[in-house]
Amino acid sequence: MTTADSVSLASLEVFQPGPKGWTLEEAAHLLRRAGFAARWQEITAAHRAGAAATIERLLAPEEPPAEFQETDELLHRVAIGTGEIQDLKAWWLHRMRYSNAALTEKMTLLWHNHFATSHAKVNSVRLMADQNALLRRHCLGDFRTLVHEISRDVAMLVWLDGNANKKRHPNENYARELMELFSLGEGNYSERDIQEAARAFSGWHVRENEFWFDRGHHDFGTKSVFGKRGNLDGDDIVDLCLEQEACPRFLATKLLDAFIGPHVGDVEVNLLAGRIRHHDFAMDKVVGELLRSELFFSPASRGAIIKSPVDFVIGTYRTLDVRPNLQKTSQLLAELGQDVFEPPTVKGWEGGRHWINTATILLRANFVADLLGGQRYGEVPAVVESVPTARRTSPKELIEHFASLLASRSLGEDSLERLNDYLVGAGAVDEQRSRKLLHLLMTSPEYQFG
Amino acid sequence: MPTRRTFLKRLGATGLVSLSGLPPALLARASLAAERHQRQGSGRSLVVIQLAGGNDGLNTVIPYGNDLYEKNRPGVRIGKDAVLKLNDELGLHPAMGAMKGLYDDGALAIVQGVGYPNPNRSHFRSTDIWQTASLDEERPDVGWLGRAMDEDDSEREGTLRAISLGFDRLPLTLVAHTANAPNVRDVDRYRLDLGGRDDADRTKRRRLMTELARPGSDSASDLDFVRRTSISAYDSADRLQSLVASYKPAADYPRNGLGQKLQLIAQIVAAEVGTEIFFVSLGGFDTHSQQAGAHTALLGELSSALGAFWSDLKGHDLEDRVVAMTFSEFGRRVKENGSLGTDHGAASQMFVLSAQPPAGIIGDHPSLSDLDDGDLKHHTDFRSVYQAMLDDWLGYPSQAILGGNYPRLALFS
Amino acid sequence: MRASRLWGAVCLVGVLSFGSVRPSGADEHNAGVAARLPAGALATVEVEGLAAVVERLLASDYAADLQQRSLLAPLRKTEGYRRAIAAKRMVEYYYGMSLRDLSRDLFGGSIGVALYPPEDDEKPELLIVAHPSNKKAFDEVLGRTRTLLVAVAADKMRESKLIDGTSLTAVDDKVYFGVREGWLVVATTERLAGQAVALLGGDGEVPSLAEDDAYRRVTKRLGRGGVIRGTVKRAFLEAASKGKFPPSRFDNALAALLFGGIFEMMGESSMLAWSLGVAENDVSLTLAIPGDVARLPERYAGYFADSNKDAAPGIPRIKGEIAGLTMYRDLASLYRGREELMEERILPNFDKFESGLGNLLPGKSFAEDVLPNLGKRFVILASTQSYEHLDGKPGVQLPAFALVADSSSPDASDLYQLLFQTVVSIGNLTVGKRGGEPWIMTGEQYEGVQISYCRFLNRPAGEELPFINNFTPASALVKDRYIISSSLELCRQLVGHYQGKDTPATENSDDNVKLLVQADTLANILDRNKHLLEARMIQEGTPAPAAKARLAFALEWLTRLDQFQLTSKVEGDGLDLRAEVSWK
Repeated sequence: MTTADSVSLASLEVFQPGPKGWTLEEAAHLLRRAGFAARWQEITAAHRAGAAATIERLLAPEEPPAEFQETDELLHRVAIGTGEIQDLKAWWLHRMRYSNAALTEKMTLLWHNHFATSHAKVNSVRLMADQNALLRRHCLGDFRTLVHEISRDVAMLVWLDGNANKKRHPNENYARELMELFSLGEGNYSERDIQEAARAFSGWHVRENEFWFDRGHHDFGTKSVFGKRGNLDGDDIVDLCLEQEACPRFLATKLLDAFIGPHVGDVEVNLLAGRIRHHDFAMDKVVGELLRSELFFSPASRGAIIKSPVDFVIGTYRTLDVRPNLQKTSQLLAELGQDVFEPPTVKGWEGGRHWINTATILLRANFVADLLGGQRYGEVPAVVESVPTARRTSPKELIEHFASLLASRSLGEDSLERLNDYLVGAGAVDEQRSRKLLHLLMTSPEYQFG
Repeated sequence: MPTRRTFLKRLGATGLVSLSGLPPALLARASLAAERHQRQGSGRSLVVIQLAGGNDGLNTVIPYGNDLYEKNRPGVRIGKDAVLKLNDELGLHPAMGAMKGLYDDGALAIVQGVGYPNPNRSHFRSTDIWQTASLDEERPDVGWLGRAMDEDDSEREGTLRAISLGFDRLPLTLVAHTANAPNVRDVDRYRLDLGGRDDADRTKRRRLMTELARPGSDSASDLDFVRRTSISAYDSADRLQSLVASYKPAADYPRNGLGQKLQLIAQIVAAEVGTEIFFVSLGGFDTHSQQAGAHTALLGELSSALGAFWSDLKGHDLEDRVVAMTFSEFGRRVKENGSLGTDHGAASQMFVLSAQPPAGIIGDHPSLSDLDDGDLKHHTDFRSVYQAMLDDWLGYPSQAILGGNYPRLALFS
Repeated sequence: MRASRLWGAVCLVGVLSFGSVRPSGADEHNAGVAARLPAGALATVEVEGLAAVVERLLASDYAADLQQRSLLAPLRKTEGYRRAIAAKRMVEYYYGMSLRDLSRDLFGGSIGVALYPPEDDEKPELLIVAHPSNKKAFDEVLGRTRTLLVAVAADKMRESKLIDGTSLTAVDDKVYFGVREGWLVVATTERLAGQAVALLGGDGEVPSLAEDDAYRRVTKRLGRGGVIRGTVKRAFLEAASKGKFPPSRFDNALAALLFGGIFEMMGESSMLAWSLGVAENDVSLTLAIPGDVARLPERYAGYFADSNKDAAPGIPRIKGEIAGLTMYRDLASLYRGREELMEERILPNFDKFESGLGNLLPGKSFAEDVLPNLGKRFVILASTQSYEHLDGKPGVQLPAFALVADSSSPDASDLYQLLFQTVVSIGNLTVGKRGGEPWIMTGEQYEGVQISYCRFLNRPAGEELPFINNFTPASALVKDRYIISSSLELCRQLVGHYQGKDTPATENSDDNVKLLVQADTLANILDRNKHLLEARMIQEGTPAPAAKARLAFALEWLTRLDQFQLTSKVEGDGLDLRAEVSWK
């Protein structure tokens, strides 16, 4: 039992709904964070099902419908066939948009950002697709296995110069990123650890697009990493990294960034690190606990994260039930700074405020305007019809409906009043008006948060 | 630097005031935002022009009086009478009339003999070296100007600090860990679309968007950051669009690719949206054979575009705020090859265009007899030029960015 | 009922394409309509004997089959279709006859539609003259239409002036109509209506179109035939397209190669003519361009052979052929004239290309040393592949392509061989970077001819093989033809063909350019890549079932067709551009 285990702060305890019970807004928050947002009907369904059941379904989703699977396979097959990374991007965006296993896709994206590998260097759609499958297979599984397997992943070996790592010329690229970016974080290893670890990974090569242990180039000599000496190989290094105190902490930071927000402190990090150790890196248990926690539903966490381009765009599609043009969507995501399968560097996307600058704000706003009035990215089905009849009666009702559907943070009284004035002045609540209201709500600063 | 008053005047000049019917309070806020830009940015811009493919420096700044030049280049040499003479030894390629004019006006500096130790002759590798300012085997994954932006990330969050024009992918020079530089294909993309056809309604919604984004009390919060950036985005887009609409280039730009991109840069500089770094590229310098025609066309494009760019900036009183520099991954061999072209070489020159350069020619022309495996030897490390740009022009800590100190080069007087 | 729907569609098309209708006996031919239109039209459309053609089409097995085979089912679900049906019911109710009969009686005869230069208004003026095939029905419809007009717009109607005993009726001073000698005249100005009515009486002051020199010349060139025929003045074409058509220069090298010289043929002649012909199993559109090759400016000389004997070579018929393109082009001459043929802004690309080519052919000039050796007669072929070189199939199945160049110069085959080697080397470098299977260059004797080709180092095996596995580049010199192909299989077929094996020898064509597309093989290759097309549609946002249905529909349509041809041929006093679609 570690110390963190015995400490029990309220924040990771199981969430207890307030006096009003589990609210619609809380349901919407869950579907946004642990997925890519949802339509009104889905939010109300989740609300009816309750928090526990909804989280259970996110962690263990049902078998997808046959039509989804068929299309998914078709798009995957075509991407492999054409060898065009654009097609693979379209395949993944299709999953993010339509999959009923939204948390799975979200976690896969999280690991893609964690083990950031770019097609720009790997240059093979098949290898990128294989890596993506690996990430998805273990996205809610054992993190240990994931690190072991990613160390042998062919795309990763190409990306971080595996073939250049030879006994006589060790290449530190993978060893360094394994420690700095994949498991420990800066300051938790020495340069010497990296040099020695690089030797352990020597001869981990690619041959004929497969992992190949090249004995001729492997250094079988004695290495010393984190104080442990011996004829260590790559798997030993991975295990040593995972044993370090810093590893669960590092992982906890990542998960808290993704699911809670930038406001968490050391207390929460330590607490979650303790749970990661307790669950022995079983991500379904760790993430499940996090989603069920008081911390997750706390007001401070709600709407605390600046939406990534994927969250913004795919979330908007899901919310408004758009059948998007996937190719154009992937171009847009690249312009917004999140080109999936092509992260800028091995550090992945920085996220947070770095998603936002004047150019991306304009792109986000223009995307919303086009979606609600144009054809470029897809058509939004009748907006008014998606609103429950009871909530169509007055502008006020309508604004409240959309605000609870869209907003992770509420617009101030002042803003709501202005919107009301705008709608009241315009007469009947018709399709046109509803779309313009949505335009204003979705370009608002609050909508940039999820 | 423009004051709030001149800003208001400019807004008026563009018709924005009369058009939008913005309430005075809002106008005041917009001008405050503009002032903040001014305070936050240095107000200075650097335009980096890549001459991709390896420019033949020896046929760009030509040692026309040197017998060895003639001897080594019987086929591709530029005749003594044709060069645009800078002094008794050196002259510019005949296609560079406009740049000769800039030189005569004291706006153009030529830094000679620029390169780096153990030159690499692969396009890709050498381009990486120039873009990252690093000779390390393991290529850093960020560019030198990307690092500059990473270094100073806090104060200018949200502004459009760097732009690359007309690329599919961000050039390595601008790749950063934290700062997100956009590719802008054309100024038309930097606009705010509102949708709908009813102008009155659009004006209403445009105003509402600004009102909904009005910053709250917690200026350190992410929300206020997004609000500030939103208002800044809307305003700068309006400004850019109206300035572009009313913008009259003070020069006739050539109708070539580089000319159009530089014109766009001049427009963005004029719009004062706080952009510090621009990156453009001119490709096709890999002149292995039949060099004369292609090289003439390329240098002509460079020269005419730069000439127009500079007169345009001067016409708008902006020349004090812009510096432009060229780089190429390498020069070419001294000796021409057998197909009236030249092969990959090493040291070459860089051009620096600014309102206060020192004497036009900086450093000696590399020797044509003392060669390194048939290539010109460099005497000035390219990072000395970068260092001057960072320290003396943009005001960034060069040591942290370049990972060391290089001999100081007095590029700005 | 079914047929009337088609008739409805015909009417609609007619009206939309500025209404074309008007009769005359078949023997009168175009003079019949043209003699009743005043000269000076910007554009005209003449329709003759449409009734017979449509009736024939409706009676054909094809139409019956079309109806049975649910091909139109998707159309019936559309909102537009429902509205059209509702409109049709109203019309049928009012006139008391089926739309089919109505259309046939009114439009089944002769119709002329013409646009005239405006007097002051910006829009051109419109004139329609029509001679219905059924006079009685015509009178009936006319009567009812008048009644209708009076009922809804009596205050807007007035009797206009009398011309030789015929009165003109003006509606809202916007449309004028009159009837004379069994012809209906409808015009947008009184002046125009008056001129037409006068012509019908044979006493017009304005000459008729049939007497116009340009019209006579161009329609003579076009010859007889065609259900719908038309003319258009070049100036009108230019104005209507805002100067974009015909293009003075091309901004695309391929377009310049294929379509250059055609419109320049017109020289001083001011009018083009076209006709749409319908035969038992095909529809063809012919465009006649009067002109004289000999008088073309020098820069266009490269487009045309001195005599048709040297024109484009024939397209070999081989198994699995999808499409063939054949042409005569003197590339060296065209390249020399590129500055006058193409837009200035694309010219630097050629300089860059030359500079790049210099790396492969050191010391050679592209214009002087390379192009003149490539020959002037080219065939490009596309055919389906059987993938004998693979254990499995590529994920995307490309056709095999081949270029056959006629060349008498021995240097040329070396040049082509060099091109071939270069493609292979660059290909290997590219594939190598992506970790693909490299090519080995090898050779074989086939039908007594040496073929150089590439095979993969290891025989590729598996499902969804990479794209590159579509290619086994091959080249051969057969007699004085050089073949360079993306697949060994196609190269062999062509060698066999030119060596006279199995297939009949190719006839020399006398076309300048000819494109031939075989519908069944095209359908076959599309069918093989159906998953790709379906995926593309899904990527655009189409739901999967809809994508499937649309594809199936398009493929089914395609399989009913036989071939598509596009030819341009120089003959006598001009050039004919002809597109033809035939069905089985």
